[in-house]
This record gives sequence, C-alpha cells and structure tokens, in this order.
Amino acid sequence: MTRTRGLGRRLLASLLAVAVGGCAGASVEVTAVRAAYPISLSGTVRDDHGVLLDARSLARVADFQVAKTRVGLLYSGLTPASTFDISDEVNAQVAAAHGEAVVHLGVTVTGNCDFLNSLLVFNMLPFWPGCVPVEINGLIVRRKPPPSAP
Amino acid sequence: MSVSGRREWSAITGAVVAVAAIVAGVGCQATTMSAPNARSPVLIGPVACIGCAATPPPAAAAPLVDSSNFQYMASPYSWMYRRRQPALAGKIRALVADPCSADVQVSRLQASARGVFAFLFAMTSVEVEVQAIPRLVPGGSCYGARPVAPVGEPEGSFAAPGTPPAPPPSRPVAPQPGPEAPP
Repeated sequence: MTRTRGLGRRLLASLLAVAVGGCAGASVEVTAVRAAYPISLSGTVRDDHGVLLDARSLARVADFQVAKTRVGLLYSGLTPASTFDISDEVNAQVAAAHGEAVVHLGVTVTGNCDFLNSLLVFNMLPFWPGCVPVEINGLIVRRKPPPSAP
Repeated sequence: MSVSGRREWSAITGAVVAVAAIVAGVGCQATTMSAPNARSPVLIGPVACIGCAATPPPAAAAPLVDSSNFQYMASPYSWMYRRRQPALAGKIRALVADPCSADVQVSRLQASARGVFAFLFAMTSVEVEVQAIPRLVPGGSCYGARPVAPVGEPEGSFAAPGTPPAPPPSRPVAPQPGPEAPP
C-alpha cells in the first residue's frame, strides 16, 4: 500500500514537472530559390565550363551579410513565415559588388533569443512568442583575370 | 514561515537562478553551419556555376545529413554546455570520391532555437541542420590540378577587397595521384 502511494506521488510529481514546465522557440528554413548567382558553403565554385575554382582563381570583392529573426508560437511548434529566402539579398549585394558568386556561406544561429525563449512562467503560455535569430555571412567573389603573357 | 512555504520559496529562487544562469550565458552561445574545408562546391540555390542558368534541384532523398548545435543547461546546482561542430566537409569527403567531377546540392537547411524549463531545470539550444545530395557534373574538371586541402586547413585564403593579388606560386601544383585519380 505504502509502495503504491509512493509510486503515485512520484507519478504526480512527474506530471506536475511537465505541466509546470514551458517551452518556446522557432525554426526557419533557409533557402535561395530565386538566386541568380551560385552560392556555396565551401570555398569552391565552378565556372560555366565545369572547371572548379578556388581561392587561387577567385578574388574576394566584398562580404555578404544578412540577418533576420523569425518569431514562433505554440511552444515552438508554429513559425509563421518559416522560410528565410536570401535570394533578394544575394542578387542585390552580388550585383552591387560586381561579383559572380558567393562562397564560404555560413549560417549562424545566435543566442540572442534565449531570454525570450526561456522566460520562466511566461513560456508556459502557448501564445508566448519564441524566436530564432539567424545570421548569414559569406564572401562575394569574382574570377581573377587570367595572367597576362610576359 | 511554514516548511511548505520555505520549499516554495526555494523552488522559486532555484528557478530564477536557473533562468539567470541562462541569461548570463546569452551571447556566448551560437552555432554555425558551413563547409570551409570541403573540396567540392556545396551549393544552395538553383544556380550551379558562374554564368549558368538556374536549374531545378535534384529530386532525391538526401543521403548526407549533418548538424551543428549548442546546448546550455542550467539548474540551481550546476550548469553545463554541449557544443557540436559541423562535420559536413568530412562527410562530403567520404561520399564524394572525386571533387573535380561532383558537386553537393543542399536540399534543406534548417535553423532553430528553443528554450525549455521544467521546475528547476532550464535549457536553451540553437541548431543548424543540413541535408544534401551529391550530384555528378558532366565535364567537370580541376584543370588537371586537383584541389588538395589538408584536413583542418582551409585551402588558400581570400584576401580582403582592395588588396593586391598574391604572387603566383613558385612551383606549379602537380596533379595528385591517388585512389581518387580517374582511370
């Protein structure tokens, strides 16, 4: 009898722990569906003949940078505008820098939303917003001119 | 104050301490997904090369999955963090034998951040997950010199804009014989 009571208490405590807990956050998919330039997470990219180009044949002309924060609801289960399309930023920044591609693209999620996502008591509420801060960096490059003959 | 009242206060204080520990960790935590050491292009978007037109992405299951994350956990009694660095370049190296004739197309790139608390325990996590598909490039080449990057070292570096171009290497880069060499 005592054992059953102890088990019941533990079960109740576990249920309370879950019920008293909270969660918030957001998730976002990074895309570039309308990009007019090649974008690579590595330091290499190809030219139109299929030749692999790397730092030896590419010149850095500018830095690529874009940052956005998306808000999520319902315990991080729902993120309105859950797609982060970087196409417009890529097309604008690469054209402005007279570049030909973006290499070394890095997608970073920072902890800037931790306070909102972990706010005690409030994130028990399903409509309490969470968020995900995304920073995307890269290098805008263009092909180096071929070396002139001596 | 009664015993139960004291317990409640200590629970509230503990929870506040846990959240304060999370807040103190804000700014220290971040995670990045990239593939600086990968030898083949790791493409996101419809354009596969400089000067090429957009093409639809390949419709296939992604055999290459990798993630980077940072988790920070705190309670009134302790705290800990766990960091997972991306291993995308290594996975690509294992999957793509010849980087000269194959690219990697990213099919999904997901970034997320979450915070959880339950009683006295609080946790935050940030994560970036990538799914990718290798694809052959007909006629792809490395101009006879394969890109060779030792593990852990980026291949070459990009000078800042405006800096004069580096002098050419004194020795030409020879083709690397090995198991990756085409027959």
